[in-house]
Amino acid sequence: MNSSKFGKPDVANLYRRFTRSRAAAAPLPEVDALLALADGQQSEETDRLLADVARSGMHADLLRFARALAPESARLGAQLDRALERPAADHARRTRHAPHAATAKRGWLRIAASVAAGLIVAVAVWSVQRTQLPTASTTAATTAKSDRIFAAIDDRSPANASGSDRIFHADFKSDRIFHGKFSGG
Amino acid sequence: MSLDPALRTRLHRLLADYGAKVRSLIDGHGLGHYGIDPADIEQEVRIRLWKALERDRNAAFHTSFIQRVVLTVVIDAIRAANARPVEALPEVPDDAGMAFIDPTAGPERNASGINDFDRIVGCMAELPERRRKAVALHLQGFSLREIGQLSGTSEEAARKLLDRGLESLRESLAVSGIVGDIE
Repeated sequence: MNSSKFGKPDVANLYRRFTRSRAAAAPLPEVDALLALADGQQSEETDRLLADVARSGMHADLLRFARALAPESARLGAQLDRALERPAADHARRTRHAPHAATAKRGWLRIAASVAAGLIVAVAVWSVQRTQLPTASTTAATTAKSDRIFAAIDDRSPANASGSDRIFHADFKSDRIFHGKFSGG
Repeated sequence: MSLDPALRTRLHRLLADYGAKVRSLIDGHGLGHYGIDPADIEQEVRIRLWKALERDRNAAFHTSFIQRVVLTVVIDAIRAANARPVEALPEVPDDAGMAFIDPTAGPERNASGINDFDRIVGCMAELPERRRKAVALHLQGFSLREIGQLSGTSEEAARKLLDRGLESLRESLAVSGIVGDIE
């Protein structure tokens, strides 16, 4: 067993050994999350990955490897730029700032999306209200018409019998016209 | 991509140098213990970077792109190693004390190690989350500065979390009958 001086177990050594040996059971990290964590970014993904790093030796090794890879990768990028005669770029700076720029861009996108969503809701409410107004007047008109129908039914009641009599009288007027024509002939 | 022979040779040399450094970092960080072959990784990284150059020689090779290529190759290789049948694993345990069972220790000591580890994990589980994380990262070998950077706190805040966490862990371990070295 890995004991340290005085026969006491070396807790760190023990922890590292056993968390490495149990690494196979842990899911492998996502490359983007690993890169983000190695670059010192904070997000839900990096928080989750950091928890995995704390309990898995393999994740810890991969994180250390990713951090050690950064300067060598920046150097290669600069060397390739020179070899291909491209304008020199500050690779390290770009790596550090790109995530922040992306975060800022995401922030603006979120604001734009919120404004767009608000506009859509406003237009939807407005158009619903607009369609509901004529519907309400139509309903009122229908009610009025139905009232008239009922009124007509009421008109037919014996109490309003005189109304129907008037119509009947109108028929008699045509008789007059007929009379007029007859006299002229 | 039409490259003059001199430039082609120069690019190949740059990628070869980088591949050698990647291989050295893989060895240095003990990633070979997860069943991957550093030479295979080196070759695959060089091939992928060369293909990327062939696709677009004007594309800027940012640090994050190069890192992503390497990490993808490494993680894919570990995944493939994990998926490999058990009989394909090396018969001889590694010699750096990374294996679950220490071949130099007797079965009693190995069993004791497993018990100690389980008790350490049990005691750590009692710590508040931030202290537990700081202690675990410390036990994994990260420095105070790294713990601060990774946790999004200052080095001083990380030190306080770690000090308090280690103090609580020592007390818990003592109650559990483990008097170990926690540096």
